[in-house]
Formats: sequence, structure tokens, C-alpha cells
Amino acid sequence: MKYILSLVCFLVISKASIAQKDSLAIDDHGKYIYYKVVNLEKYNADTLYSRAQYFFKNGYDKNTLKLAVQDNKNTSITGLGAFPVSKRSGLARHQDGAVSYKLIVEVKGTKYRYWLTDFIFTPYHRDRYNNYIADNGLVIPFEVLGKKISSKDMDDYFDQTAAFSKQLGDKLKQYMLQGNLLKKDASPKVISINKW
Amino acid sequence: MKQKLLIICALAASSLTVKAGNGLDTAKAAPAPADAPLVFSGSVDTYFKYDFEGKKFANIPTSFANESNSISIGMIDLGLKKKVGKASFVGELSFGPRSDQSIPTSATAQYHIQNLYVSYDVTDKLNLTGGYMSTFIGYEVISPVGNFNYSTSYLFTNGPFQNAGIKATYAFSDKASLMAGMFQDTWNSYQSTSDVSTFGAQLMLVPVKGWTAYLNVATGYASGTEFDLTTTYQVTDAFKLGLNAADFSASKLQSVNQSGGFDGIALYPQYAVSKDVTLGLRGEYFTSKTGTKGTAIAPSGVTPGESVTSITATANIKAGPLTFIPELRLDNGSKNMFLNSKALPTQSAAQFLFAAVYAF
Repeated sequence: MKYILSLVCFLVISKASIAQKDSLAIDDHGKYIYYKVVNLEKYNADTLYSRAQYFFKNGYDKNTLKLAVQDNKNTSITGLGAFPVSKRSGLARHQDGAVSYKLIVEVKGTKYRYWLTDFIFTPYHRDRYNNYIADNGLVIPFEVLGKKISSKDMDDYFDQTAAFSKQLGDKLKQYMLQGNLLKKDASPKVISINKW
Repeated sequence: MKQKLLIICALAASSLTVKAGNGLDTAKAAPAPADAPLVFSGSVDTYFKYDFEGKKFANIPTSFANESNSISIGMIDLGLKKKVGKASFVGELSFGPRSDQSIPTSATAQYHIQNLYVSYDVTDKLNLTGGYMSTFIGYEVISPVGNFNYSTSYLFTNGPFQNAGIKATYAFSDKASLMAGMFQDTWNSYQSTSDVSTFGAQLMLVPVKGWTAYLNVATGYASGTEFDLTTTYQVTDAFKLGLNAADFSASKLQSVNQSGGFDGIALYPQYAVSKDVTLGLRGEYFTSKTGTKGTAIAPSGVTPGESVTSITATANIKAGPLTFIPELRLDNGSKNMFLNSKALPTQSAAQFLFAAVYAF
């Protein structure tokens, strides 16, 4: 009985751990994609669209995410961005490359959906000043990454891309739920000590 | 016991579930972006070299890897970098024969610095940097991680390795930038001999995607004047072409009748035959000017007034962070400038080496 309970315990913990990790999927054009649909019953499409706009402008710095295209029907927004990735096998952790991506957010009724796709890896190399910089002109779409780098490194980059996508999705949801309440209040809180 | 296990199990699962849920709906404000962590990097390299003319001759006079018939070491290189906001620093120390041969040092100094500088982004486009830095001139570098070939070119050996000074870099766009600065009066020196009088500038251009060109100049009354073009073009995903051309006119302190110096050009085609194997060539033509100081073999390693042609065939075979570098090199002088196995002058020299470089 003790062993069965231990096994059940192990399986529950493993499942809970695995549940935190997301992964990329393949879309119907054979491209890697991270896709989610979210239903927020409290808000309508106009509210979600304006909050999505706010997210594109304020969610990240312009190197990580930049608004690229808005449709004139106020239903879809497209952004472009990039984030750094590193090899986990290395003795030291430094940037080994960057992954650029396209983010599309669409709203409809009380739902919104988003997907990240067009993932492209740019390898970095160490320059003479001990900085890690892009190899100019060398870019590798995720769909052919396995032919260009080791499978271990590719798995690392895919995991980091899925983790970034999940983090971006979580952040987008915060903005969709709370809108411009996420604006930072720069002024410090004032406390009066004149009265108890 | 069962109860204990059940409680542990429930606690573990609930803590993981709560952790997974955090950040979805409970966060009140977007966190500020964190500063980049302290970056630690470096390399270690070792090699075996065989000179075809004899057991211990080191015929080819370019920098590093000059011990024949020996399993020898290069250097260990340790670098740190940190950026907080707009300010950053880089400190890079090295130890070993490759380091000793690259940086002139006193007998008492037990350390060698490859890079030690601080940097500040005044704006998004303007950066100021000061300290002791790798030179901005040339195609090849001291660190074996930065070179495709393990042996080095005559152009590298005779150009500057490091320039200490202060420089400003302005990026007009991601396709063009200009650097200008003042550097020590002598190259490769932690401190100046007399003053900070070498002017250096670099224009970086990206004419088309994949093609980067650097036009460099360093000039000073004590260090002489070097014009340099360094360019690489990633022609296809697999094929890269590099080129380095330079002209150096020595100062009156370095030459006879102010006509010393060198000219040279080197071409670097490289082709990736698989994701782990890249093959490459280096073809170099190098001339030592007649006025260069030194009667027999000038500092350039080539007799003044003579020239040398060098062909190097190199493979880079990657095994994770380790790169194996087998290399065959043949140098041919315009006159006798090498030694054969009987220690008699000869016109050509050849060597084979096998190096291993671990980068982290």
C-alpha cells in the first residue's frame, strides 16, 4: 500500500509539473504555431480590441514586441518581435541567438484568440569585444532548424519559445482583464503621520 | 504512514498547481523588465602541430601555435560582462602561451587582459566606451573562438591586437555606423609611452542583407598609419566569403626613411557541408615594404622587400561546445625565407595542426 501511495504521489506531482510546460504545435500550412482561444464573458469585442491595442503598445519594449498592422474593422492586430535564447547545456549562460516571431490577436464577441508564428532563429557569435551579436545574414526558420543545429539545442530553443509564448499569453490576459489599470503609477504613495 | 504520505502528496500537488496558476489573474501590474544577468563566458584551446621540415622547427612566423611536434596549450580565456540600464562593463582575462605571445608584458606580470572597458549608451544611437579593448582593425582576433582558422595570417600578426583608448560610436541605422576615438600612442599596451595620440575610426556599412563591411583607419606619429578593409558576405545559408585588405605605413620611429610597413590581402571562403562540419580556405598575399626596420627578418616575419603567399585549408568540426580544427598550411616566399630539415634556406614551408577549442 505504501508503494502504491508513493507511486500515485509521484504521478500526481509529475503530471502537475508537466502541465506547466507548453509546447509548440504545427498549423495546417506546416508552420510552427502557439495558439490559444480565451473567452472573457465580462467584456465585449470593442473593449477587448482597445485593451489588445494597449497591450501591443505597452506590454513589452519595442524590440520584444512592436505593433505592425491593425485592420480597419477593429478585429485583428499584428505585431512583430524577438526574444533572446540560450543553450542550457553550456557551462555559462549567455545569449546564443534570438528568435523573431509574428503575433496576431483577433477579437470576436466576448472571445479573443492569439497565435505566435513565423518563428525564425538568428544565431549569435562572440565578437572581439566579448559581446554576443547576430551573425549578419544568417537566419533559420524553425521549420528547418533541425537541419542546421543540433537536436539538443533545437529542443532547448523550442522549449524557450513555448515558455516565452506562454508568458506572453499570460501577460496579454492580464491586459485583457485589467486594461489600462496596468498603467504604472509613478508617484509614490503619500502617508500622513499627523494623525494616527 | 499512509496519512503522512497522503498529506505530503496533497501539499506537493497543490503547491505546484497554485504556482502554475500564479501570474494569470492575480498580478496587478506588469513587472519592470529585469536587467541582464552577469554573463560569464570564455574558452580553452589546445593543439598538436607538425612542421614538415623538421621535428622542432617552427618555420611559419605568424602568431601563436608555434610549437612543433608537441601537444601544446593555447590559453584559457575568462570573460565577464554586465549591463545595468545604459551602463555596462566587460572584463576578460587570459592565461597561457597564446595569451603570453599576444600581449607584451613585463616579467613580473602574471595576468593578461584581452578586454577591460566600460561603456555607456548616451542615447539609443550613441555609445561611449573607454578602456583596453581588442583592436577594431582586421579580420582575425586573438581568441581562437573568434577565428575559423587556428593559425593566423600575416596581416593579423603585423597589425594591432589591442588598442586602449576612448571611442564614440554613432549608429545612423542598423545599416550604418561610425566610430571615432583616441587611443594610446603605441599598440598593445596597457599604458601609453608618451601620450594618447593615435586617432582611430571605423565606418560600418551593410550594403545588402548578409554583407557587412568595415572601413578602418588608425594613425599616429608613433604607431604609424594603417588603412584596413574587413568584410564578410553570407552569400547563401551555407557559403560565407570574407576579405581583409590592409596597408600599413610605419612611423619614422619604426622604419628606415619612413617607407617601412606592409601591404596584404586575404580571402576567406567557407562552406558548411553539414550542420556540424564547415570547410574553409584562407588565401593570403603579404608584402613587407623595403624600409621596414630589421636586416634579416623584419617584425613582419617577412624579409623587407619580399613577399609571401600562404594557403591554409581548415575544417571546423563541431561536437557541442567543442570544435575540432584540422588544418594544413603551405607558405611560399618570393625568395628563400624558411628553413628546410637540414637548416638550409628554402622558399616554402608547410605545417599540419590539429586543434581543439572548447567555448563556454
